[in-house]
Amino acid sequence: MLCMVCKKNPATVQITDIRGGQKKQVNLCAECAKGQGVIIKAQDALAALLANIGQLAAKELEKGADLRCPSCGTSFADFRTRGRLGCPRDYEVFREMLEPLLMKIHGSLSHTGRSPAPKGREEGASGAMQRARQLTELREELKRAVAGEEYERAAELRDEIQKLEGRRDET
Amino acid sequence: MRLEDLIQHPGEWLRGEGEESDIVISTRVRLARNVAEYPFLSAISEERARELGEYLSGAIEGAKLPEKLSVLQLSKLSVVDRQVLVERHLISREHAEGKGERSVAVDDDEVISVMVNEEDHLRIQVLRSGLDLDGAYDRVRRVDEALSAEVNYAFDGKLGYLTACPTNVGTGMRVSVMVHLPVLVLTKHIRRVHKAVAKIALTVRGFYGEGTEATGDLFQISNQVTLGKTEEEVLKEVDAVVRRVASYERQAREQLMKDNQMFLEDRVGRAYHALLGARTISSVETMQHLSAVRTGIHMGIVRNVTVPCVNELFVLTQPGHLQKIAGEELDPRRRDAFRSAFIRKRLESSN
Repeated sequence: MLCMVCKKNPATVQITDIRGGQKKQVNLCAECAKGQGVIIKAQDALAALLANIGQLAAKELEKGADLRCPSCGTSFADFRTRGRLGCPRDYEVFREMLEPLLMKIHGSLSHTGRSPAPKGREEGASGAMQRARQLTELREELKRAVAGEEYERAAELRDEIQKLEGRRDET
Repeated sequence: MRLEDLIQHPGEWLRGEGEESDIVISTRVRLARNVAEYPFLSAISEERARELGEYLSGAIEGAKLPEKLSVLQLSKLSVVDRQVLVERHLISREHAEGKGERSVAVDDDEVISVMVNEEDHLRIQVLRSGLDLDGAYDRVRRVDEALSAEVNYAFDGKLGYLTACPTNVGTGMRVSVMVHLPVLVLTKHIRRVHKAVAKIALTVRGFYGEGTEATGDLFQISNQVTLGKTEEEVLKEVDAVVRRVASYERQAREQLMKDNQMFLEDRVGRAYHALLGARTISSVETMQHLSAVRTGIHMGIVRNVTVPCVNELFVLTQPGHLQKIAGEELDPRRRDAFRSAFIRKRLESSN
């Protein structure tokens, strides 16, 4: 959905205008919302978040623009456009920029709720994860085998993949 | 589980029972969870998303739970089937329309649903009839604990459960209570609800969640904050607000009965007979009339229709369900005719 004012940028701010009992929905991009002098009463938390990012000091944004998560490759600019982070580690990498947002959304920076139950077994990949990883590896190998015209090997791999896939369907 | 079986009976949340069920339709609690070893879905490759989907489906099927969860792969379902799942509130609209390896695991009673590869790797949801926050949370917590034996959750000592969107970080818990507020809408007092709800940072959303208009006078009351409050604190706050809103609606109903009983009886009667007399009807009009009939039942004006019948019709008259019941694709015109005949049959047999 495009911004109703500039009709160029994607609309990230949704405003529900209630006047005299009449409800009107207005969709704007963060820029136009600000330019219009609209007092943003965001309908949902995400709109509030994105509007808030738009209002961050230019200095902070510049600093953030260079930052990229070494794990998933997401930059802070990517986050600003998508509204979604790339991986759990982003919270650490972008901590400085995220903290004011979290404060704005939640009014807090510390989790006080539950934690995951301590694991009764050794840390590491579970059986289900190992199987899924093995499948990915086999599929990649199969692709390579087909590309290299090793058809005998490819047939073997295909059988192996089907066996492994079948195991999940049976359970 | 087959979708054809699902269609035959309504979900548990439509029973029309439970606390405050004259006003509260359903209670939903959902937890957002992610696997520590994988990127979130906005930054994942197709291959890794497939691997993750297979891993989590396996983990869900292997989880030690009293309920049996069946995994439905969305890419293998038709558009209509996916729409049916949305209409039954088992998956989100985004999940239905998304790409890549996505699935949902559902128990036979349709109380539990676990979405795999939605915005977060896992969205664990419990849906109950009436106002039942503690019951719903208990149930969702048990599923969460069972899954945590198989999955290493992305969790940070300071920020809690890490989610793709910072609006969910912390508990990852979103509570949504669906309320029916026809007389507050009718008497234009719905602003009181917006006010009551805004004070403690809750949001009001339409029937199908974020960004949808409320139809049939149905609203969702949800918490906004997920960081800095315990699950119990949030549940308590939402519970208090819902009860306050319900009392506003009840007051408004009593007042209207006192001031203008004939006006109300006229509205309800017309709505009931419109549903019976129509030969073609849109889904918007249907929702409006059903809302009035539901009000009429609770106020003793309509005696020959039950609440579960009306609740079911809210869902069964949606486009996906109608086409599933008809057993074929219907264009909007034929759908409106089919809908009208279906409603008439249901109301007459409820009579």
